[in-house]
Amino acid sequence: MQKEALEKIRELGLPGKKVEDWYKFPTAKLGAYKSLEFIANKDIPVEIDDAANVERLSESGFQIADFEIEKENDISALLPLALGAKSFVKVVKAGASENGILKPHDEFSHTVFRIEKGAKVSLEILENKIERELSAERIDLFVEEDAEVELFSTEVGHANELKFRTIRVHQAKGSKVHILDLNRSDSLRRTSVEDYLEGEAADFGYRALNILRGSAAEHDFVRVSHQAPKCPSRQFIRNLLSETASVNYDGGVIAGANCPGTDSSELVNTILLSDDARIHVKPTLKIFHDDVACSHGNTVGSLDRESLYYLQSRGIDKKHAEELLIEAFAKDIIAEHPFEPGKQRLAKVLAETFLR
Amino acid sequence: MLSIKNLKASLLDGTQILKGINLEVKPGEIHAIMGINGSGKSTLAKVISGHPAYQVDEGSVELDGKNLLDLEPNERANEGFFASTQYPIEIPGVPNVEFLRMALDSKRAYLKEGPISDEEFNKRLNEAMELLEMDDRYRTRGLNDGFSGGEKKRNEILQMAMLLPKYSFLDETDSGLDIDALRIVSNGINHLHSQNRAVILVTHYQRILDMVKPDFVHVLMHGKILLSGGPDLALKLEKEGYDWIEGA
Repeated sequence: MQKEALEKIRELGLPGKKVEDWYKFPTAKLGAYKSLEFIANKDIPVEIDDAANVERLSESGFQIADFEIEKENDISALLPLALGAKSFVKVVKAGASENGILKPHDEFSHTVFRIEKGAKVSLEILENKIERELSAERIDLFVEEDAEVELFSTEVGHANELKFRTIRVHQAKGSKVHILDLNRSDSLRRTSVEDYLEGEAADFGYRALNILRGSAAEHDFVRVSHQAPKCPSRQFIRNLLSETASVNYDGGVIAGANCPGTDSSELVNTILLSDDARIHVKPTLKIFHDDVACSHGNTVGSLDRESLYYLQSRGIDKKHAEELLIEAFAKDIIAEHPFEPGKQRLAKVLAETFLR
Repeated sequence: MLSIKNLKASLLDGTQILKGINLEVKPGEIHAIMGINGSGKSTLAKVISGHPAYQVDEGSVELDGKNLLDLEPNERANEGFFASTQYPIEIPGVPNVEFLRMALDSKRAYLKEGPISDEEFNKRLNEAMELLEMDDRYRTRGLNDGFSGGEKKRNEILQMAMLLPKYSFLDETDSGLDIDALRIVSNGINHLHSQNRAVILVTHYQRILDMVKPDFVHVLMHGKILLSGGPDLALKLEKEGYDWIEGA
């Protein structure tokens, strides 16, 4: 697997400014990272040592082909595999119910879950406490029929770190996967999510709240591929950006030819709290069937003047009225997240964040 | 006393809406302001409460001797001026009760009183909600979030009941209310009105004035109060309209 990933990543090379999937990402900076030099310079040796890893994956029923390395176009997804990250592999048995944490200890990490039929799993991604120049984590989820998975994180991050987070999800009939992410990081982060709705009525949600300040930047690249009938998918992003923080959201939905009853939505709401904060949104819809409902929306603004006035006219001073509105805007992200553990965790973190 | 003298105000683009309002409201009085659409009734409430879409060109608004126009909107509210808007805004994510608590504590802090105790707050809230026949759904929902027109108006009176302002300017509180809701809201206003608390009621219809009896009725047209009288004036307006008023 490592050999295939190494060959593929070198074939792709470091993305440049003109690579559409890395639109707005400061790709010029990538060349400066020592740990990425092996991509462009094939003379730099990379030891292939993943036999034990492949064997372990195989024991849990995974084949190299499951990771679709040959189709992968994102170097951040290939990076942990190419550098031989040891895969953490877990199979949650049919009907089981588990709560767990994912905590990467290394710069490059790979986590693989198979969630068998009807199992229910809640996973919190904890951040690596060690500050590094660059880190990359990849999570692969194979979700079987009627299984439910929640994946959530409440990241603070490290100021000078470049972080890649890759999530690849394959969903069978009737399965449900919802990701909830609170990002308060000071760093440069790229999150790449691809979800394949392969069975009828599989349900996917991606909700993210970015509360960024300083020079923090979040680059989200999300693709939801509807490959079966009657699948709902939701992308709901809220951004609170101050100072020179920025978010670039590239969200795409593909409704395949065999997907009647597709119901997808993509909504990005941003409040810019400073003149220099930036938001770029790029929604993409590729629709190959007539019977689909696909919507996308994007709003950008400052705090609503009428709402501020209303709160002030009831005696609340401007500073507290602004805080109340910001908090309400932020908390809305968890309202429709369907799983309690993530919902409660984010509610707690947000209550601490907005402690008055 | 609330004393409005020669109040002139414009939209930020310079369009003048209020062209010299003069009005005095004493504690305990009920005033009704009537007039055709677009005459400046809602603007008057917004200008006094400090809406950012308007600028004051001239005049003063004094509440017990303090010029409200020199104060921030929250300070005007905490001095005792309450403006209920015609279309209360929805603010999802701000729980109704949390908002009421914050507004009340803001007023108490402004008046240099300590925060209200949980017990006292809940007692007042329960009493006010009972008065306005409001159920528990109002507690947990976001501020006016998904409320019907009538529910929003009732929620405005709930705020009035919790904040107990000296002067309440209720802008078309009766519009959009069914018969039962009008009775409930009117009961609430009558209950909250007292020797110390005055009400200024903007309305187009006599029906609310049958329940909330005004001491004075004013006709506001073209940005000015053109005529003032007693309760009979509202009856005459209901019957004859506004065409007979000089300057209309």
